[in-house]
Amino acid sequence: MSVAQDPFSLSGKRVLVTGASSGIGRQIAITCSQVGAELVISGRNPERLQETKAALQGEDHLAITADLSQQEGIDQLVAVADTLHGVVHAAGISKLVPFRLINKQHLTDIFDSNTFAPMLLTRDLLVKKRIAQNGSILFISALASHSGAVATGAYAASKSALLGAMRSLAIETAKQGIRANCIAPGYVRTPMLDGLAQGGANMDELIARTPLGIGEPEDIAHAAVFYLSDASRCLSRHYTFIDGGLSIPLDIYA
Amino acid sequence: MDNIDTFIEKFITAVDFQEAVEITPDTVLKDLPEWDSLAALGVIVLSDMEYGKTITGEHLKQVTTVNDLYQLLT
Repeated sequence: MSVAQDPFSLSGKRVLVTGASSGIGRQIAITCSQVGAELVISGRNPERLQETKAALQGEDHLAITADLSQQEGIDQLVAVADTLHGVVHAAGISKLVPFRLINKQHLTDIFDSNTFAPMLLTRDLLVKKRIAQNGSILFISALASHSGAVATGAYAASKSALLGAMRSLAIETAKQGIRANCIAPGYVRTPMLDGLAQGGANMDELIARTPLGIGEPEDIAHAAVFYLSDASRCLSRHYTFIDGGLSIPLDIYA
Repeated sequence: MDNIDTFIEKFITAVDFQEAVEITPDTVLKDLPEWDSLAALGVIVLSDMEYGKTITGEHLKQVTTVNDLYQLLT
């Protein structure tokens, strides 16, 4: 099948990926470049962002170091974004904190990065008409939005909030043909997962409860390609769990 | 800097004991009936939020008594 006929091709599409300096965002950027996209990548760490840029296939990619939890970072990115056919909000942070130890600072840190930044960046991209007709906006939520694992009070709330934002956004942008969807990963082998292990999570137990095994960043990236490509052109206001089967025995809609 | 008594108060809050238990500097963490993974996580977070010190589960494994923990965090 030629690239032109391939419904999963991102050839001719310009895609912004935030959080591209590591983990899921990094792999989404790399995989998108491999299926033909021109990338705009952003992240907080300049060295690691350049490493991602060097790993992208093809030329003409743009790397912008920006902290999107600050309005200046958003402004910086929107100023150079140009026309985008896809946006992937992969930037995010996580920290295990038992509910009784949650404080305002913790909530602010988590929500600034995980919820407010993707919402405000999307707002500015829409206001500045940076997202093309028939474009695709993709948020990275988390299984925690439904499973509510122990000590994820703030994190789970911030990721649930993204689902709500996505639903409303998708209705508003439908008239421009712009789609909004969400991927909710379970545990994926990334630096964030290493951080959870360092922060006190029991990894052996998690692995034992995941019948298909802990996911790799590629598993999320392949789904992201689907949501960004014309293969999903009829799909909006939708989300999918990619969790290695972790949620199979859970009543996650409870 | 917190003295050991203040530290013990914060420790009790972080661990969230359901059954009241007397904690002294010489109390051995592993001997506490409610010392589990969530309790350990509470101490990791307490260390970070109250004392600005990042510790891991590995650090906790090397700690025996409450006083050891106090020395590690403060």
